[in-house]
Amino acid sequence: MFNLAFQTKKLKNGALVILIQKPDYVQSLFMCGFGVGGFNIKERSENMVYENKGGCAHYLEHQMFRYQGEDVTDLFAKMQAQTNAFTSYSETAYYFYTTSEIEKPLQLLLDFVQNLDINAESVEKERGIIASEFAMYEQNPEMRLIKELLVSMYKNHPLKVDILGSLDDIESIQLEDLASFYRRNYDPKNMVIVGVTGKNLDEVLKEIERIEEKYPSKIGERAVCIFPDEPKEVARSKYSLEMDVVQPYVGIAFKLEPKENIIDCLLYDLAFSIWLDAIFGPSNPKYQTWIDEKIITQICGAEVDFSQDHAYLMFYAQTEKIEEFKKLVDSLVQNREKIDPIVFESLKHQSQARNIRLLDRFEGLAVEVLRAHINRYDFLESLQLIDSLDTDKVFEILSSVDFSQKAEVMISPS
Amino acid sequence: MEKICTDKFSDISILVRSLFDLDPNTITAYNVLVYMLKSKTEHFDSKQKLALALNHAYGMRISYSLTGYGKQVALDVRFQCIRSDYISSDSYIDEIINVMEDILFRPLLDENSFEEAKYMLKSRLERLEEDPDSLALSRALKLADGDHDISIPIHGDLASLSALRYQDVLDLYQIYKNTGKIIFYCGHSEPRIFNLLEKIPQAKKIENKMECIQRKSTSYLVLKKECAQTSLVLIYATSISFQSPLYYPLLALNSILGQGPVSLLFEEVREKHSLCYSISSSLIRFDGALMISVGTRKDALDQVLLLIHEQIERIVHMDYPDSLLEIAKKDLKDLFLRQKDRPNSMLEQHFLDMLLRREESEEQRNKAIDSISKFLIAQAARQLFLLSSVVVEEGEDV
Repeated sequence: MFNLAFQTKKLKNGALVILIQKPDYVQSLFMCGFGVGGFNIKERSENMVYENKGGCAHYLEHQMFRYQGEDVTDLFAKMQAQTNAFTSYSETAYYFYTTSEIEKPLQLLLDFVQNLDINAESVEKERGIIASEFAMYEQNPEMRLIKELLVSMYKNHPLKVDILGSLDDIESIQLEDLASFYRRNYDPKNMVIVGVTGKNLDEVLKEIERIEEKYPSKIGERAVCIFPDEPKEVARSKYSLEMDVVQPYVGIAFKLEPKENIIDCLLYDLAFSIWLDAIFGPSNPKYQTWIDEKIITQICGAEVDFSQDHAYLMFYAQTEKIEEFKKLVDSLVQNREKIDPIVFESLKHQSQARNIRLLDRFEGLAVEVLRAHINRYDFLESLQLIDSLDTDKVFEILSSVDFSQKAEVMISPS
Repeated sequence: MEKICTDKFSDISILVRSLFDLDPNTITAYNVLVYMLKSKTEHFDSKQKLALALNHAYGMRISYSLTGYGKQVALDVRFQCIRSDYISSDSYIDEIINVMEDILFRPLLDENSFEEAKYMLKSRLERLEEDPDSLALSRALKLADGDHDISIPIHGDLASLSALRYQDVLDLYQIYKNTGKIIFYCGHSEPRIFNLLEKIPQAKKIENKMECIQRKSTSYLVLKKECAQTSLVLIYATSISFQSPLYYPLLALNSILGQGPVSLLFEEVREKHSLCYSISSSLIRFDGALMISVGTRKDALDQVLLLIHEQIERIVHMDYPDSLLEIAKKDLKDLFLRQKDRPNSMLEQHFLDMLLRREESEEQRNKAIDSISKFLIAQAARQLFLLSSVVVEEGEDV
């Protein structure tokens, strides 16, 4: 019905291929991802424990763009393809998109991610670039607020470490740090190839199988992240800093209990997202009052994240009415009322529409499919989760969560 | 109404565009009006009612925006809704039509929403001043030529906002209401939506009003701000309009200079000298200008400026690999091809073709791109003239 078809195959070397056909589309997008990211600070591989510097995954992502002494971006461009990459806390992915033939860029993508071509000079050169990227994020008040909220919540968990690492990490990462990180984590067993294309999927799959024949797995078992024990309590309950801003920023985060089961994580995420849409947005009639009273401005938001190793809920705003905003958040969290059935029904429709729209967004679709595999859940089934929720279920989920661990961060004008 | 009927997309995308003269005396009021227009309507007379209706209509989206086109500004209303054959509800199209009708014909403008819009716009403008990159850009555009449209801030300004009266916005709304609209539709065919859109008074003609910014003198400004790194923005006059034979060479020039990661600025300033993470060039086509922006260390600024100058000189002297020109040509062709997968890009291209009276086929366009040479690009580069240079550097506010 939704103008697409899926095809999945696990290759002999352990790599997983997921292909999605989008008929009539001119573009193709191919993404090659690994379940490795900012969380990989301590990891176990083949019965050995390794400590990586913060930001290793991200630094390596920057360095991967060298292949046979050339910049792969230039090589892709010569094939009429554009390339990019990203590192999150738990994934690193490389991708290209093109309106032209896919064979050559596909070969290049699979070749460059499976061959490390770096040296001390290239690692050194990257340092200034990453330091500049760090500075760019550091001067953005919203990003800084969220970063400090994570530091406030977590004492040991790697969420407290920036995906880019600290400036000290960036200054000290060396060639061998990256090379050993690569050897442990960039293996076909840990690799997912996602393609979204209008082309014939059988032919694309054959091509990928042909290329991957020359890349056997070199590891016995996949490296896994080791998450240190994390206390229930927040690391610091209040923190403030100064920045060159016009109005203060305030963030309030609640450190929650992670869920053991991935489906529960998805369900809790969804239930909380619907609740947030219902109570912290225009669907709530009080929203107008908060604007009228200047408690919130256009810069305000909330986000939730449930996973198997961490969970949190955070609210933030740029506002002069800091105390009023804090009271507002407290009252929302304390009075977790059932969502009005009419509001719930409308938000359910919105959520269903979001899922339909995702299927047209090549990059978003590929990322979600990759993430589903890395976190070991079925992407298509996850889209149906919304049907299992009703107002009672959302209320039951909200009522089961302990909101006692709170952290506040404030950014004041300097 | 311009229709692109296709079953390729899940969404139907509709653009209702009005064109007005870009005027420093009204641009702030238009920003306030836009906020008020999207807040509520006669039937959906609160944010909650409107939000519920949009969400219930399967996440129907409405957005308002203002975009500069040289001496004109476009006030856009965009609708996005899932095509009806994907939704199993008999009343779905009725819901869409009801919301669209109210939004288009019965917005509710009152003093409360006026005060709210002013407050929201004030926060936004203050926020733009707060961000070093936005601050450098706005100052550089203003300095480039205070008498040219390029200096008019499309988001409005704080001084005009504080002087704005409710009646000013109501007067502007009357002008908006009586202005013929340009309507574009892309997606699955929905005859009932066509009927509704045909009720909107259509613009009789549209004309391109642009004037290339002139080469005058170069202005420099250094501001200090507590920030983590220095922002630099340079504005150049290109003196090249859409009708110029150097228009396609200018597009290639921008690509070679710094549009993306395969460019001289990216290669030399970032990759070879590690002086920044972000550097790029872009065209302000309707003003005949080119902009370069970069975030770097304060102590590296002189070197960055020198390298930027050197890259422009390399283009002037045709001193760069042929492969870069070939990539630029492929990129240009690709840009037009990629639009076919993006409804909003298709609508925008359609508008530009109408505005600029362009009737070239894909084949003709590709031929024009193929004929771009290093010599023509060098000619375009020789016309670049630095109008303004603004630096926002790390330090105490002055």
